Amino acid sequence: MKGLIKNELVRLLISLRWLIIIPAALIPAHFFGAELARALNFSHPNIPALNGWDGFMLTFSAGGVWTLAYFFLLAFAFIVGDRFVGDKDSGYLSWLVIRTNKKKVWTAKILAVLIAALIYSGLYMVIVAGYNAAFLPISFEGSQLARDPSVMYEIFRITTSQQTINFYQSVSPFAIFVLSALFAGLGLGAITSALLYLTLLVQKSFVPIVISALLAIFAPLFILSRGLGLHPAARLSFDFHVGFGNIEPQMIFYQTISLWILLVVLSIYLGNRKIKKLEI
Amino acid sequence: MNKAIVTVKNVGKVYGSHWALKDINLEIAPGEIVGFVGPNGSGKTTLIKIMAGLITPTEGIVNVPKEGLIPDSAGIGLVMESAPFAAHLSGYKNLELLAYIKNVISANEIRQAIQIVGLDPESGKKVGHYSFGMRQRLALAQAIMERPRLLLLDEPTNGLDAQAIIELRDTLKSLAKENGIAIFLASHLLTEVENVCDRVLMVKQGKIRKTFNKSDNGRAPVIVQTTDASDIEKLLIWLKAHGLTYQVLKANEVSIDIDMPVPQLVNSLVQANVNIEGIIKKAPTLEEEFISLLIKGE
Repeated sequence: MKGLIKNELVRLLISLRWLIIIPAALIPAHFFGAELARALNFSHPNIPALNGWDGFMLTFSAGGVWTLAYFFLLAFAFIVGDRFVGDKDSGYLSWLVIRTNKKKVWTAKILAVLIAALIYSGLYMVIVAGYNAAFLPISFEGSQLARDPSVMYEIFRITTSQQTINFYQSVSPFAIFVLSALFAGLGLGAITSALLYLTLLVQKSFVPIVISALLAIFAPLFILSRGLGLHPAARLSFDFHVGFGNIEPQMIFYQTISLWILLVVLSIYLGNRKIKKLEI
Repeated sequence: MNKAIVTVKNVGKVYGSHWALKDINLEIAPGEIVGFVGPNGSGKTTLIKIMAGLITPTEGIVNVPKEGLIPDSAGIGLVMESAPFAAHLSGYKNLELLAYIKNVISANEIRQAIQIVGLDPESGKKVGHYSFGMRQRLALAQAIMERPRLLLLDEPTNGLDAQAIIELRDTLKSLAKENGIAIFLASHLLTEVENVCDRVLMVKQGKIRKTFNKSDNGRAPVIVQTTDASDIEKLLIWLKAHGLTYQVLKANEVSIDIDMPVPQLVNSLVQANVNIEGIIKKAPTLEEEFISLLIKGE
């Protein structure tokens, strides 16, 4: 299994399609991160200067479904969407199957996509953070705005009920960065595992694109509600930055992780049942 | 024949109401090269995929080696019409990727396989820059690198130039002879199949219609040239006396339909005082058999 995963992962990582991550990360980083932070500073001249971390977090909070569904998710779906159909059509799948068996090949494919999703998520966030750091002040901690709730309460007129928000004033932005990359990567891996399973059901080359488009359209249902985005603590803070009314994530952190893991396990299990009977 | 390492018994495959294969029976011994020829859609690729375990037959039983000559290695090597390697990697790196799966061969064994097919294992050239023929050779290298007991080849000569075809032929013969690998080869190139295979199965509409056996000394026309016309008369008397069918081709040339070794025929004719100028046993070629059986339907 280790060798199969290595095979899948290397073939996946050397694909030139990964270059799409650059525009897919830079566009939201620019419009929802650096530009928005500068606009906030301009429109609220009395607030402390926002730094690169604010830009990074605004990219995912203010960018919301745009960043996560139309850039983060769609670009990865473009990279991995045809992992099964492509191998089957080219004949590579037969080389894999004669060396092991169909079930192991499928399981390795899903696990490789999951690992690739974590790598992709990390890379994506590094690009977003790097871009914001290039255009906003660099700091090793959150800005005063992010660390001091009273400043935000005053500026954004947060109600008393919202003052119980767990701000990240005591948490390093690095820790939030890592947690967010892992959390978003897991969610991304889970969603694309399900997408691969659908391509196993309907083996047509256009299926990954159609499903990705549908995923993007319906993304708000599962991304914002189910928390694909960021660590809940971080999300609360981001929402606060831009003054969103609804700042409570509908699912808490561990429940969301359980949901993603369940989706991966189901994709493997159902895929194994399906591929057993499949003619390659 | 050595004990068969491949057994296919009454195998059939149906798609909808169409039988792509029906009543296929086949045994292949170690070191034997068996060809499979037939028109497009006759079921060649389907049989190869069934033997490779990629598709399940509707009926019948298939037994193929589960393990190669190296313990824990795959028992089957497979070359299909396409060679879907990663274009950004070298030939060696591509094979290494596949070798990770079983992890039973060393880097040197991968290099040896590449050398056997006539490629340079040290070349860093990306597969994307390979010619079609080079890709096909690399595909053969991936099939043999883990030393399988059975090699399944589907149109392996597609896109190869004449020299590459000759080299492939020599490689296959040597793999069969020296390593005892059983080879099952489907191809459209009848001359090549005839050259490389010990026997050839001719298939039409999913059924094996005839087996062409190169080592078979069965009935084949013999053309006898005599010194002059008077010898022809003696020859015809001898033929009639033995109840053989014949056809006079020229004044001193007769084609005889006979099931007798040529030396024995020569002896008999000498004893009958027939002066022989030349004698040729004209066994039908695979192409002739193919045309008469599969095209003319004889």
